[in-house]
Amino acid sequence: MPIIIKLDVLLAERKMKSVELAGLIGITEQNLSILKTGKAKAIRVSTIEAICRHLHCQPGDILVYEE
Amino acid sequence: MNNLRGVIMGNIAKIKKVSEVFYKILTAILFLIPIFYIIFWWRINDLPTSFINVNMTPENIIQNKLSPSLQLIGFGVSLLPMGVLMYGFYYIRRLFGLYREGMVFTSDHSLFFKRLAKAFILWIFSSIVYESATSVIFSIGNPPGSRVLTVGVSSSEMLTLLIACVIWVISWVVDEGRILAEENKFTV
Repeated sequence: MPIIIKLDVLLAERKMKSVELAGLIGITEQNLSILKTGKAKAIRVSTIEAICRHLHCQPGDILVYEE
Repeated sequence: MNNLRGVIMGNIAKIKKVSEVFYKILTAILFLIPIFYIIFWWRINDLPTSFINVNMTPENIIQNKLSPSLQLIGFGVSLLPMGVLMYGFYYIRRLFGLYREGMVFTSDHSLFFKRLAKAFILWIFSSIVYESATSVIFSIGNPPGSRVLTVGVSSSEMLTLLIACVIWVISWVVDEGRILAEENKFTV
C-alpha cells in the first residue's frame, strides 16, 4: 500500500505505548493496531486530529506516501 | 462521535434483546408446525370449521369421513407445504440467531434473506399442489359426478409472490450493508 503509517516511529520517539495513546484519543487498542499495521481502509479526520494533538506532530509525520 | 457510538450501541442492545425473544418464539413454531399437521390429519374427521360458535351448531370441515388410508395420503401430501414452512421459519430463526449475537450485516444475512424469498416462492407452488390434492381427497367419498379437482391461483398467491420479490431486493440491500459494515470495521 503506498500510504505508510509512521505511528510506531512517533510512539517510540515520544516514548509512549500504544495502549496509552489509544486511551488518550478514544479508540480501542485493536483499532490502533489496525492503523499501525496498515490494515485500515479509512481514517477519520477526528482521529488524525486527536493523534496529532497528543503526539504533538503534523498529519504528514503520520501519513507518508511512498511509490 | 461518542454520542453516535452511544446511539449505535443502544440500538444493538435493543436488537439483541428483542431478537432473543423472537428466536425462542421461532424455535417453538418450528416444533409446533409438524405437530399441527399431524393433529390436523389425525383428527380431520372431527375438526369443526370454527372453534368458537355462538348460537350455532359447528359444522365439520369435511362432510364424508376419511378412511385412515386417505388420512395418511393427506398427511403425506401435507409434507410438501409443511416442509416449505419449516424451511422458511428455519432461516428466519437463523437470521434472529445472528441478530441476538449483535451481528446485523454479514454475508450470512444476505444468504438467509435469499433463502427466505425462495421459501415464499416454494410456498406458492406447494400450496397450489396441496389445495388441489386435498380437494380430491375431501371429495373422493362423494358419489361419481360430484368429485372435485380444484386447481387455482388466487390473490394470496400473487401477494406471496410480491412479498418474495420484496425480500429478494432486501437481500441486495443487506449485502450492501455488509460491504459498508466491513469498510466501517477498518475505519479508524
